[in-house]
Amino acid sequence: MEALPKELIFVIQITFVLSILVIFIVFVIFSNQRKVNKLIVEKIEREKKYEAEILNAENEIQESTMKHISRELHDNVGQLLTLVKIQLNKVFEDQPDNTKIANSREYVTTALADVRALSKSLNNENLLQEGLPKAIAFELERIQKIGVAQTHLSDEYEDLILDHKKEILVFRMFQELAQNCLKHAQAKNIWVNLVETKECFNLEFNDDGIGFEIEEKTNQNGFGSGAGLKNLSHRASLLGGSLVMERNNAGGMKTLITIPATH
Amino acid sequence: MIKFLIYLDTVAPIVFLFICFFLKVKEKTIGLKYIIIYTLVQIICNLISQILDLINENNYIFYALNQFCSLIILGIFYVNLFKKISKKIVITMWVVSIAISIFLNFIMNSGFCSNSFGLLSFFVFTSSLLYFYENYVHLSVDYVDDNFSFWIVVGLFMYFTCNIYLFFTYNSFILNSKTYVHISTLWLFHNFIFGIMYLIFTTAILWKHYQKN
Repeated sequence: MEALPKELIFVIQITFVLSILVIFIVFVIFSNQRKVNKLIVEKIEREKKYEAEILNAENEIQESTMKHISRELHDNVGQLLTLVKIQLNKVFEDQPDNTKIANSREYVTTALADVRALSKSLNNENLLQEGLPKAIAFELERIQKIGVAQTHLSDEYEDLILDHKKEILVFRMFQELAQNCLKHAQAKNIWVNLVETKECFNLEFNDDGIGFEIEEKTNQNGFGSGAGLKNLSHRASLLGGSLVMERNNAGGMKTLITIPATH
Repeated sequence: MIKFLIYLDTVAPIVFLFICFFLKVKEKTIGLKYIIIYTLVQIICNLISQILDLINENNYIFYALNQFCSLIILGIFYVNLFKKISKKIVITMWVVSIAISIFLNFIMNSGFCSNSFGLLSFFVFTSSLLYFYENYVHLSVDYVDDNFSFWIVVGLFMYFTCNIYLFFTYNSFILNSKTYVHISTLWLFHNFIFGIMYLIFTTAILWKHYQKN
């Protein structure tokens, strides 16, 4: 075979050098990107851990305050109302025809029941003893008693796939949704659907209120600017889950909270 | 082996296209769509060129067509890869390259012009470097090698950078009677690198496909 001229050999050599250069450039990009990527992931994980710790501390403070208020309502206001009721009963025994006393006795009985229910709702120890679905059912019952909206619960949550801490957080998120709905939505009906799969727990909250535009709400600045929504969404993400809000067919809002199961 | 290398510039794209259709790849990245069109252009132009070569007919027009279509398709591919400032740079380079290409291929019309391929190589080389630079500088949570576009750029960068010197000097070898006899050896070398480019594309698509499943 005839030898190649020097010019062609030179071209082949240049091509060979260029191929090595290409491999080098790709390798540098590749390894650098992996290194940077690892650092970013570590940073994100650190931030998440830090935020989770803050959230945990916030929750502990919140729960402790709520427990304190709950105890005060039960032991102080509740006891006082009980005393008033006993005294009204005695007066009523002496004056059975007095309608004002009869009415007052009824009002006090209702107030006492409401205070007890509120006290129970604020104390997670009592509340979640029977599980998250019961706690949500109790809260919906309390809302219905107020008479502002009709509540409907569809519960397909059987096994406890969430740990206690997660259940408390989910319950508080549900309470915030319910409160927002009562305060702003002018809803006549509230539907709550609890569904669990092997991987996650879903809480679907629907209302037939006036609804709102999510983008508009989250882009506002200042007081009442949808900070509560952002906070809810943030809490869900710190639990490793998500919160999605959209308009529903009833004209109100649909909120879907998805939390991964605790294994 | 040498015969295989002669037909590699047609066989490699056909194999790649066959794998894409066989796997029913539905890749959402913009890259695959353009690379399939580029592959089709390669198959059509290279196949017709080879047939014309076999019957000793002039096939330069198909090389010119190949270069021009490749420049258009790869230009769109690279323009879509970038954002803002880099996009403007790539668009400028692309438009200038198209203008020069039209001049070299269709206005001068002086037979086979490897310089136009050199121009295409230069465009791909600089655009790829810009892409690598952006990936190097900008922080991202996603792994760059998970992106199919990255492997397309690697393949194109490999082929065009390795051949850039060859393309710019090829015309002078054709004119030189001493080197003219050996010119086919150089083209075999070019085909070998072309095959490597398609090997990278094929590996990327197979890896991406089996990673998904």
